[in-house]
Amino acid sequence: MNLDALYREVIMAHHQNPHGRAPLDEVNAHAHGYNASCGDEFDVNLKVEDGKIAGIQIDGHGCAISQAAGSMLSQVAVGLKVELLEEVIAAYREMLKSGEPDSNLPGDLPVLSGVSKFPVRIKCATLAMTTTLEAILNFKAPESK
Amino acid sequence: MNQALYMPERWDSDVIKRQFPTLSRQFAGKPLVYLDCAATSLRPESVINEGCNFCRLHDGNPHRGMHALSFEATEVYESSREAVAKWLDAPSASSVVITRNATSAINLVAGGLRGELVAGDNIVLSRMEHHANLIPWQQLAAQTGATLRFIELSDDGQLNVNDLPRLIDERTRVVAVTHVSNVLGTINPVRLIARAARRVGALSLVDSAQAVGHMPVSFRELEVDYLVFSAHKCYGPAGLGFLIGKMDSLERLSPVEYGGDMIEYVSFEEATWAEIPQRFEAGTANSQAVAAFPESIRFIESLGTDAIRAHEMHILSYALEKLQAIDGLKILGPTSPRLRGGLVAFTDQYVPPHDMSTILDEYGVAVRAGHHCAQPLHRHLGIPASTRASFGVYTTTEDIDALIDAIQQARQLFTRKY
Ligand SMILES: Cc1ncc(COP(=O)(O)O)c(C=O)c1O
Repeated sequence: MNLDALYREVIMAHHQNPHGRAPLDEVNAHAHGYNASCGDEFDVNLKVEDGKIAGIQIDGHGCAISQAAGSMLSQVAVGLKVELLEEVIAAYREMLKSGEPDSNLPGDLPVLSGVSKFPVRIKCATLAMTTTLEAILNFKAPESK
Repeated sequence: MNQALYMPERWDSDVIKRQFPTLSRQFAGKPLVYLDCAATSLRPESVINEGCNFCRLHDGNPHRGMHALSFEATEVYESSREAVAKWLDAPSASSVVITRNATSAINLVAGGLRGELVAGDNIVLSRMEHHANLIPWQQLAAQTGATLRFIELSDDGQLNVNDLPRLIDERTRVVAVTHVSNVLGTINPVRLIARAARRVGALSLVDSAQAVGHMPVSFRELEVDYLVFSAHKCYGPAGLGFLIGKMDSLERLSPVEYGGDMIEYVSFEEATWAEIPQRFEAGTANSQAVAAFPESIRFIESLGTDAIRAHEMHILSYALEKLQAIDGLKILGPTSPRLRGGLVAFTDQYVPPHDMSTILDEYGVAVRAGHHCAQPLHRHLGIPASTRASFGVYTTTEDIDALIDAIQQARQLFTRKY
């Protein structure tokens, strides 16, 4: 059954105990993401230092897939150069299109390749990523206050 | 309601199911369990055939040409209008406006009233409106300086009608509420609300998208100025809706769409409008859908709206009882089937709605997850989304059993410790 490819144990573990929820001591970029079709929501806070992700908080609510994706992303982002994180996210989105697990992706992210069999769930699996990209954009060109 | 008409032993679900070609499809190796009737009700074979027949034989442009096909098309078109008028107790065929769907019908009214409202006026809605009966009024309010007021909900999802005297005052110009909530299921006391509106000289609109085809509906008895619904939610084709209005209430609307068919005399500089209802029917309609709809009415009436309502209440009672027995699952809206239409939305402590619908789908059970075009209502209830199962003439208790089994599967997946 396709469900086994979607609700892998690793994914459920992230859903039940998500990482990356703790507030940061310092935040220099933020973005809010909302999936209008299902109500999933994320707030992403970034601490960027010397062009690297020094801290990330991905906090939100929604389905298991969106929450697991956010949790996985928070685990791999810290320490990455901003450009590299952008590349990781691009490769991740590519994987969801092709359905081929991309073993070059860091951490648990390759496990989410099964989402490709569920086209309506791809938005869930990418909301944390698109919100993070938006936070990066806000860092590069700070939100006009 | 005439309970005597409904005899379960005479309600032959197999016969009814067989009339819906879509229900013969197999998913997950089993016949489809379709519990998304509130999104669209599917169409019986006879309705599909009638639309095809029109295309094959009578396919002229109604109201346009001077040839036999166009006459025929016009006749089909107008007899469909008459059938709707008769079916729902409209004052006359002319008081039935053919639209694209319920949404466009509400836009027609809200947009049409733009000249009637001024700053300081107010529009009264409820907290349970579908976006279709919210956003057109938001726009009207923004354009005219009117304010929006909302009838609040009681704890079990009914409208607080005790608040009506406070909410509806001499500056109220329109009161627009849903007949049956597409999330809470609540059946609202439409006539009482319409009377409260009329007492202060305000217009009233009822969004009957979830009522028509599910229970007896009479425009005259509801005493509203306007009633809207969509054909595709009552066993009719998509791309077709209706606005029924009292004649003098329709007269108060300015057209919102302009062009062919809706005019009388046109010069290069200006135009005068055609009579109602043509005034509100600019452009060529979805004539094949219009032609098919009388067949939907015939289908519904062959079962009887009282019997359909009784059947849906029977299914609803069964579903509510089974769902309530699941610990940690919370049903939205009133708990008594008497107070609700044939749908039930719920949240689950363990399985988020989107995951629930994906898992149910894998077991061949089609439900809807999300905010069901009622974001503000969900936020008001403090939940991001819900799962909704909705019922129609073809729904059986076996379908509900399949739903419950699939929910249990989802539960198992989500309550395990990983
Ligand atoms: C209560 C209610 N009103 C209005 C609508 C809009 O119907 P349509 O999309 O056919 O215009 C719906 C459909 O979802 C509904 O449930």
